[in-house]
Amino acid sequence: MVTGATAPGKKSLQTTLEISRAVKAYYGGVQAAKQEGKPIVWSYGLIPREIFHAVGAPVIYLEHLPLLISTKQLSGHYCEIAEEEGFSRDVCAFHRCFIGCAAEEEKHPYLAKFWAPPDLIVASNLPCMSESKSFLYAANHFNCPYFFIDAPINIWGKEIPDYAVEYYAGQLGEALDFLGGYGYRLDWAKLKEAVALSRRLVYLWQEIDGYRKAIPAPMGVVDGLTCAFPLIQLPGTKFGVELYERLRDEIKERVENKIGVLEEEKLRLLWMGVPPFYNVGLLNYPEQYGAIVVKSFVEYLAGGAFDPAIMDPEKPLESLATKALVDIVNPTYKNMIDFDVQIAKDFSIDGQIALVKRSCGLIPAALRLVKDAVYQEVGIPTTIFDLDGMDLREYDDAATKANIDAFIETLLASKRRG
Amino acid sequence: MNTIDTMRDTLHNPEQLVADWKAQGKKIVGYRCIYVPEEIIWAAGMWPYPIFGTPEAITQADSYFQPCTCEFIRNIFDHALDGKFNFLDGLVLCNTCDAVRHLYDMWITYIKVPDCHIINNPQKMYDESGYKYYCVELKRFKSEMENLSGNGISDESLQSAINLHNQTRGLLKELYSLRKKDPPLISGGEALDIVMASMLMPKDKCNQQLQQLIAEVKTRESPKTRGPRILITGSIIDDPTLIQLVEEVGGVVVADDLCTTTKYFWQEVGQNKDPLDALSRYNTERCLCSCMHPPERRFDYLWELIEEFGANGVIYFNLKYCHPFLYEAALFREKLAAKDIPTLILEVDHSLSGLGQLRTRIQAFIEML
Amino acid sequence: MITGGIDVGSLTAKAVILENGKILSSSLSLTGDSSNEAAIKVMEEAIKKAGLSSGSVQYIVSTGAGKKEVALTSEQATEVMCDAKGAQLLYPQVGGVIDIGAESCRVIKCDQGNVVDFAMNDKCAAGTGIFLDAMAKALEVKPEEMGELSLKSTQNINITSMCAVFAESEVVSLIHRKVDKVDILKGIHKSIATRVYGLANRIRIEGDAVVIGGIAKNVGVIAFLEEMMKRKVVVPRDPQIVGALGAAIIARERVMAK
Repeated sequence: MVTGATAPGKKSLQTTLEISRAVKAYYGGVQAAKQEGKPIVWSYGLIPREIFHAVGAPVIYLEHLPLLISTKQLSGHYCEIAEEEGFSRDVCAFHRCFIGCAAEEEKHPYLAKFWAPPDLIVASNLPCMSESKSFLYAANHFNCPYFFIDAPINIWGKEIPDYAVEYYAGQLGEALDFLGGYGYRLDWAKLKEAVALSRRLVYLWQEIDGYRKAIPAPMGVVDGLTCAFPLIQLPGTKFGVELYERLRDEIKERVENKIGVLEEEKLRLLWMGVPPFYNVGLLNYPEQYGAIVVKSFVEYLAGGAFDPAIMDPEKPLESLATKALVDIVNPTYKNMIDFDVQIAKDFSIDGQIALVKRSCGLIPAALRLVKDAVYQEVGIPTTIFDLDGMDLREYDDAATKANIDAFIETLLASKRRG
Repeated sequence: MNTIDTMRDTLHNPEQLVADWKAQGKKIVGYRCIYVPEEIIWAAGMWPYPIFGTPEAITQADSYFQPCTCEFIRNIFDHALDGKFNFLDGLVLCNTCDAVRHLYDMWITYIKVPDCHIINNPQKMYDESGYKYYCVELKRFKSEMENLSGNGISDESLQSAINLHNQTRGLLKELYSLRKKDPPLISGGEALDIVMASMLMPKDKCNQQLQQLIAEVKTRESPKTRGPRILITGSIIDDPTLIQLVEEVGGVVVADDLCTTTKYFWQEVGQNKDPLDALSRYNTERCLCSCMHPPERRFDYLWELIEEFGANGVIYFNLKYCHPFLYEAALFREKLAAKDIPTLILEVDHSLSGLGQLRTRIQAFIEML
Repeated sequence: MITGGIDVGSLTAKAVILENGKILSSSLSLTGDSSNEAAIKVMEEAIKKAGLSSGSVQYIVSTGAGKKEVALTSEQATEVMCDAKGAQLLYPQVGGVIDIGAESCRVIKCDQGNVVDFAMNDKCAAGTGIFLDAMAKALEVKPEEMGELSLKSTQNINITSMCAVFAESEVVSLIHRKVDKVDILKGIHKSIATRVYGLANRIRIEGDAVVIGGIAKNVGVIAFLEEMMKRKVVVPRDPQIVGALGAAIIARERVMAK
């Protein structure tokens, strides 16, 4: 049950507002395509978006639609519908929400703004087993064909061997064949261009990231969450690049003029895990203590954390495959841990807030690894507590804030001691 | 003692067998789960030792894993923290599910001994490109096992290992055919113990015992009680209590689709002049676990079992937090209902708490059939 | 220098008066409907017990669930900090604090009085005092006698449900099956200890573990907790005032800093 007020996040940047509008326009585009009779794709799993953009397929992403639903406090409603369909409360709330959206007979007016039922499904097991399985409900419910992309897990770290890249690249090629069968024909020139644009996008994101390391932080996580949209959903598009050029310019100016989200920063925090999308305002909560949440882990998914130099437009599928396989959320966890330690250092982080989403099979079990690594190598503590970022019925405002209060107090006491 | 009791004893008290094996200077390699090709380990002169859990509450593992993770894996980790796996010379995991992947990272960070290896198998079965990829991956695993054992693995030794393990599979299948009778000659609880003991024992010893066991079971008198014929399926079950529970309330467990039973032996490794290739084929064509694709094949295989063993109803024991099976449960129940087979889906704890409530629900289901 | 600390919990309010690092007096009262009124009452009682006049307390810090409503002071500190500070004054070598109260349970890892790590469990009532009170009613025993009675059992009844609601129905069914009260009590106490142990496990306490809060007085919970932790824990003579003590210590630190 929701105990306590929820609030939307307080944003600081102009570009964030632009990106919010871009999000709405994106879904408008998908709905328009539906009107024109084009087959709509539902994508499950961190499948390289570039392939969809390259063939012009209108896609709704499981990772994104529940976020929008959640900001209007509707996630509990949809999770309930999924539970009535027989899905346990112990499966991922993102997936329950998506299943609920699919199952709802008469769509809620807010959902209707973004809604388009699938004609095709492309799913993958990267990064977790929920992605691997939950699409079957939609495939069954809408009686639509699906293609499953099998992504090897990453047991190698930073260097993925050729045979694994080949396998995944082959899968991407087959996915493109599948899409081709429904009118979305592949033009290799477009795919190469998408890879080149994607590379440019990641370079821009990392440039922006560089500016975010400044003290005071020119941009916090509330802006970060919205601004991650082009990185995660629009790689391979010109539009994504344009948005990030504007973002980069705005951030650069703020840093040059020493404009920060908080004038006086007492603490810099890192947020690990899914933030509460039904209460993004929680991310502003620490600011009353002079603590700013500078970065969150989710902003690095789908490419934010890798070296774009390895992307070669002449080898588009292999480049996309490598980008996906080294992703920090592709188990096993060496890359994720190394990365978390790196950002803790680069962003001068004082403490990490890590959340356990009870229904998640992926990150929560790995939190001890991250906590210990960050403490051993950077000397900063991590507080771990329960919070389901998607299912608002599980949210306990008082307990959450008590935990954050205590953590901030202990960090401040630690700083006073020197 | 009759053979089944001997086998049960070995399953619960393997210490002597372990000591005898080690006394010969040979190594033991633990593994989880059944997609790990045992034959490669055996061909290297090592004993492939399946890791099972125990129905106990979790203690120390919860200071590493969050409590919302698979209890089976946390239980294994508890045992590892207690040093119960120190006798192993290596551990092999594979790419099954989120929890097993976590176990890998936790093991290499906190347990460390023995060394943990992981096979990066594909999750899409019956796919040519997956098979090609897996061939390369298996070659890598083969050289890791050669390094670990200090022995080369020749084609002959690998073929010989395959033949031996196929013999086990064949014998278990023969034993299971005795469950097709009405009522079956072995109970569900016995079947689980027998298969788990067979998984555990070195196969040369195991095959001898199975032959004896089959002969003994054939001489058994047909049990008096009949009842609804139940097929058990679900996430890992490594303790017979749940199956016995079904039998206590009047169900007759005739078949089980579990990785500790049928999934282990139902298909045999094919004959191929390249035995490593045969193993690649075998492991990319066994679509049995809910973690693997395509689910249509898994359903077909489940249906095959239901028909062969004449089951009237299915009980689906879903381990708490076992996501792949949770998603599939609702879907399968619908498909089975369309074929007039009722399904009972139960969420269970690996530590077997809440048995009273489970009993009531199972009883109601049995009475309904 | 005389400072005061007030801990307004969900069930009880506590106050401690500290003079130059020594406890002058302490007081406890039921919180009731108004946190502010309970705070005033309990502080007045403590002042009276110390033989002081109301103006003599230089600075007060409040903590506990109702801390924000306490008008006597504008300075609050979290329960985690106060528990750690209070425990450290009583046991300088403290490695961890386990606070089991009416509605919440928290565990704190300390190193020389500094909080290194902590974990909280505020949602589910199963690990805490309210659950025990409900069970006392169901079994018709006095809450203060439950702990001792639970230790008399030689059976091993397990209450398997972790959730208070289900646990209560399990207990009711055990009563109907005429299971002996002491055996049921043992099951209940083990269940609470298991939950507390699970929480404590998350932070791996090294060194002395100090148990505080109302439930620390329950010998049954303590015994089963020690069994699970495989070591002895320390229970202060007055385990409920440690939070208020910590608040008074923080008040002293504030005065000294000015």
